Amino acid sequence: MAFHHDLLDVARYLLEKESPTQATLRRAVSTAYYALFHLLIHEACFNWARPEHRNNLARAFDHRQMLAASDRQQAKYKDAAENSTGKRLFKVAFNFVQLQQKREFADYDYGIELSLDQARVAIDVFVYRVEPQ
Amino acid sequence: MPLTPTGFVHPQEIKSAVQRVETRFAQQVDHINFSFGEDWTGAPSIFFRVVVHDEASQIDRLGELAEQVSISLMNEAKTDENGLRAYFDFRSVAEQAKLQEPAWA
Repeated sequence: MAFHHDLLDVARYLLEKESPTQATLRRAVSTAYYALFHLLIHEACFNWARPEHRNNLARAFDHRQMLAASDRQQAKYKDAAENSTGKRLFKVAFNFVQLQQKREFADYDYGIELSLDQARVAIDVFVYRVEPQ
Repeated sequence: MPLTPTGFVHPQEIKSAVQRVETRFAQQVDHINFSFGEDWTGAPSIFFRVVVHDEASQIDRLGELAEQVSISLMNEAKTDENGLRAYFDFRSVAEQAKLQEPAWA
């Protein structure tokens, strides 16, 4: 099983804890972001012609640059036709932008009380919708 | 009045845009709040908080709705043109009733 699938399983496991705490909910959201982050890296590197280069290539991905790239794609394909490749790209970019900021709140912002529903939405809406079909 | 890379953003214009989206999605959306701030990169951002009716908050329905409402808000509020990065959070009426957070009221 690919690493990003394992991460998603961890996120779901944390959500299913009987008495969720801020620690488990925040870890779930953060882990969900990393599931998406690694899914994109996996998809980008998987077809690289020389397999021995894939790990080094994967290490070159940067959160901020991926945000900037997602921002551009999101703006470009926001109004693309339903079921088109453009719309699919929009969904990936949009969900990445959203989840990256949610991870930031989950990891560092003491000012918010993360709810179980918010954590569920982060995982079920923002991650599952970009899985390759 | 927040200052963004493209100039000043008028909260009243955003408010009107939000009202148009609330009307368009009245069957699913109870109300929408927003605030200005910066995201983790320091970019000027707008944070929308969307409270949806309980029936619309089921996970299998929320995905599509979240996308449609988000795109409508980005288009109506012209977030790209205003130099704002838009972020969206969703919760149900029932959850807000339980949590009673003023920012979502």
